[in-house]
Amino acid sequence: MRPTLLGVLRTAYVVVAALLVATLLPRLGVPPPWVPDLVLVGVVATAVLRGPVHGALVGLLAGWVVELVPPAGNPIGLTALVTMVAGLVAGLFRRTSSRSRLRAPAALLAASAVVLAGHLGSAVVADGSVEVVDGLSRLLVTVAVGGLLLPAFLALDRALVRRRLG
Amino acid sequence: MQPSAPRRLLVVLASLTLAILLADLAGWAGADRVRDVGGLVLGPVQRALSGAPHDELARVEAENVRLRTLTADQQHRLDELGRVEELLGSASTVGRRVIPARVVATDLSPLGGRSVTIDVGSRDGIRTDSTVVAADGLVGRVVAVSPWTSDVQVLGSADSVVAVRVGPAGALGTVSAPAPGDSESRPRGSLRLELVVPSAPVVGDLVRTLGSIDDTPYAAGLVVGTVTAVDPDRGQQTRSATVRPAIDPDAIDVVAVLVPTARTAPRQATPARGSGR
Repeated sequence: MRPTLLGVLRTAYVVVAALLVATLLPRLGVPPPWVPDLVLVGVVATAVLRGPVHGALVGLLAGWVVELVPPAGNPIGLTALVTMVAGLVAGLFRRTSSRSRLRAPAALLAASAVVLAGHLGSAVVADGSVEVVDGLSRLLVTVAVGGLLLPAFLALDRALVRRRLG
Repeated sequence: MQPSAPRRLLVVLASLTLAILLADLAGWAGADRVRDVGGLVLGPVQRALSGAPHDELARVEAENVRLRTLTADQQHRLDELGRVEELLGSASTVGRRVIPARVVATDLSPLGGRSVTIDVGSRDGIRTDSTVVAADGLVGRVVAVSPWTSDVQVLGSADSVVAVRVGPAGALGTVSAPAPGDSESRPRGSLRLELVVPSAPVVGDLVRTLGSIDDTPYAAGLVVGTVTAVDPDRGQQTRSATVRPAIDPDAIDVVAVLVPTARTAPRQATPARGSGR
C-alpha cells in the first residue's frame, strides 16, 4: 500500500470537502438544505470506477472524516456506516463495458438516496422529527453539483491511472 | 488472496465502526475521546476558515453576553419582587396571614375553566380548601395538596361555585361558571352571577365573597369581580347577571394562599351608640 498521488488527492479532497460543508458554506450564508454533500460526490467518483468493495471502504473512511470534523456526529460512527453503504451501492454501478455518461450521476442519485434513507431512518428511531423536504432538497442539490463535478473527477482519475500515478 | 485484502479490511473497519457506534449509544466514555480527536486536529482549521475574531473582541463580546444575562436575571427578580410586594400590600391580603406562592403549571380543563398548580404544598402548611388570592382579588381554592405543590381550582372552573355579596347592600348570590344551558350568552372568561334574594344587581356593582366558617373554602370580603351586564327580567324568581372576574385566569403568576385562622377568643359585646347609658 504505497501512497499514490491519486490517494493523496482523494484524501485531501475528502478532508477539504468535509471542512467546506461543515464550516465554510454555512459561514457564507448557504442555508442548510442547500449545502451539497460534497464528500459523497468524491466517494461516488471512486466507487463507480473501482467497484462495491473499494467504494464501501472509501465511503467508510470518508464517513469517518465527516464524523470527526467538529461538530462530531452523534452517535459517532453512524454517518460512517451510512456512507459506507452509499459507497457500496454506488460501486454496484460499475460497468467496465459501458461508458455511458449517465452512469455516474445515477450512482450518485442512488448513493444520496441511501444517505437520505439513513438519516430519515435514524431520525425516526431517535426522536421522530423527520425533515423530508430538507433531506430531499439536499439530495437534489448534491445530484446537481455532482453532475457538474463527477465528469471532471472521473477524467482526472482516468488520466492519473493512465500515467501510472494512481 | 490479493483481491480479498480490501474486502477483509472493509469488514474489519466496518465492524470497528459498528462497535464504536454501539458503544457510543451505550454511553461509553471513550467515544467522547474519539470526538475530541476530531476537534483537536480540525478545530484550528475550522477556526481559521470561519475567521475567528480577535481575542480582545471576543473577550468584550463574552463580557457583553454575560452582562446582558445578568441584567435580564436581575430585572426578572425585580419584577417578581414587585409582584410579591403588590400582592402583600393589596386589599386581598391585608390583615391576613398568607403564604406567597407562584404558579408552576396550568391546565385548561376540557369542561372549561382552568386549574393551576402552585409551588407550595403540605410541607409549607397548605391544607385543602384554603383560599387563594392574587393582588386583584380571588383566584380560587386549593383542591389537592401534595408535599411540595398544590392544585388550585380557579374561579370559572366547571364546578366552582362561590357564595357572594353583591353591591353596597350586600345582596346574597352565587358566582359560577356559565352553565351550558344558560339562557344568556356571556363573553368568554366571564362568570354567571345568580342572586338568591329577589333584588336586581346594577352594572358596576362590586362582587365580594360572602365567606365561610373558619375562612374555608373562601375567606370573606375578597373581590371576585364586577357586574358587567344584568340579564333581562323574564319573570324568574331571582335575577342573574354577568360578572367579569377581577383576575385574569390566563395570566396568574404570583398568588398567596390565605392561612385559615379559626377564631379562639369570644367576641366582646359592644355598647351601641346613643344608648344613653
